[in-house]
Amino acid sequence: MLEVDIKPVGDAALQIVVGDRVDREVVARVSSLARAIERAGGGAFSDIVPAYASVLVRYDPLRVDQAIAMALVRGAAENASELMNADIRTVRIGVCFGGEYGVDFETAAHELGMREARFRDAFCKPDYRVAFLGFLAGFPYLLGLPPALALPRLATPRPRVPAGSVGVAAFQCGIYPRQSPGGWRLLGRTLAPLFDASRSAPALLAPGDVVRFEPASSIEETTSVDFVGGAA
Amino acid sequence: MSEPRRLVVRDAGLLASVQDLGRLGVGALGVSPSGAADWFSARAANRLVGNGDGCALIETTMNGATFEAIDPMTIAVTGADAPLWIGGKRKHSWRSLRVEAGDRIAIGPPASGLRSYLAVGGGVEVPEVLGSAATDVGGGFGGRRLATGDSLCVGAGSSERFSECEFEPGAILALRPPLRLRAVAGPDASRLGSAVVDELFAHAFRGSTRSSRQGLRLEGLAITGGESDSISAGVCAGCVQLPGDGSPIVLLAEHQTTGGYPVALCVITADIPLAAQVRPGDEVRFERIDRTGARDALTDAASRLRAVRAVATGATHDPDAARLGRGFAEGASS
Repeated sequence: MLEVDIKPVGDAALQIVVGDRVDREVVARVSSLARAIERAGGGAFSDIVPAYASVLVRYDPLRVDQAIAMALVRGAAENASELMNADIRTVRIGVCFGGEYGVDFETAAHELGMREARFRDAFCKPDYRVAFLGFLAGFPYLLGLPPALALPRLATPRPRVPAGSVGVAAFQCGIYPRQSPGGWRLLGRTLAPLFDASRSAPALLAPGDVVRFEPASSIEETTSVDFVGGAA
Repeated sequence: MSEPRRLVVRDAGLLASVQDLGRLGVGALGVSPSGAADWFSARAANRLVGNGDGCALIETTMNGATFEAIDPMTIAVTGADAPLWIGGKRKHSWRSLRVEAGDRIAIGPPASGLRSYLAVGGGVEVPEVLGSAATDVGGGFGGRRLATGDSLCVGAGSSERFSECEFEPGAILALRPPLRLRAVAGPDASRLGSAVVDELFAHAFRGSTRSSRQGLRLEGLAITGGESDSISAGVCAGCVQLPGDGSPIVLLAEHQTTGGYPVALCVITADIPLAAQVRPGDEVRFERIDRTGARDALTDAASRLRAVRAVATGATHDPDAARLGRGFAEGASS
């Protein structure tokens, strides 16, 4: 049973809020709710989009009444378990830090008052957890950045962030699957294939995955990805 | 079946792409639904040529586009109020038309509106990616972003059973500015406060040149009260985001799946087609509507879509009428 706050988003979607902060517990509740809605939805929902602390569901307003959509969601929340998924997959991703691959790395280390090697090790130390995919196809929002490494986003976003860039903004960490505009601080780059629409599993990562960054001495070393555990 | 019929792009204009009603069920991967920005015009064009609502068709932008039919086919053009020429002769849009081999189909710059839809009987054939023929222009996958010289295959259609159809004049979109987008309060309205919401409803905005298939950007008034650091949440087409600079963004078909800007209003499903047709400089106003009103407006749009009739010349019975009149939910919802 999950406590939820259901808000209409126009006449064709609902936002279901499960928390007012971003942490692993709230993120686990989000994925549990998203799974429960998928089971209970019975085809009523055309899309189920989890985020940090909420789930958005879309429906066809001529086919599904808002009250029925709300009742389905409420029923799903009652049946959702708060248990974390025990089957956790760890994904090791190689990253080439600094220089042309991470144009903000040196200044970020300087701003934090850390030597570059220490900054890199501190960044790679934690297990990051994929909260959800959003912003761009296959873009993982990662939790776990140590608060001591938090940096504000750029005042003016860059028009072109290269594909594979590993970036941070405040408490958030993410990887750009393709070139795009972006305002996050860029620390390094990976050639890991984060998204390919032609694959049967287009996104490399899924919510709940643990990500471990490993420093690489050359960009070529970052092509392959190592999976440990999990059903996949 | 013999060789597929072909349609060649002679001038793709500003942006022409293959679209359908969008890619559903993959939002959790961060994949945008994409699809036709103006769902009403896309469905209407498909119905005129006897296709299902979700058939792949071509969306053009702003200054029009030109195509050449290599083989005979049935076509219809809907959307923006744009002049249409077939083989050099001026023709009506919002009507099904027979084109002969070698005919040029030229969509001119619209007098009002922004996007035109060209449907062909049998549909445009592109491989489906993640269950849809829609082009994700920003993502660079799915469908096809069209370039001058491209050749497209047309599906086997019912060209032999062609009967000319048109929409009743009252059924088509009225696109003369000022455009009124009916909206309800968004999920973050109470956090932003009623003063901000009232201000959004009170003012006249203008379409910005920075708009895209992702979102209609509006300018003309900087509204204070927008914050940029809320917790990212799922969004959908119609969401009116209020970024820190106070210039609202109405999300369109190719929106990002999640966003961090507060959602002050939501344009109702029935008026998303109008939002998709706003040109840079057009005056835009938000008009308050309640939930019942939103529902009535969508029911009305669905019934206008059914208002396809045979053109009077001798057509007493249209064998496709029942099919054309099928429900809104036949394809994916917008």
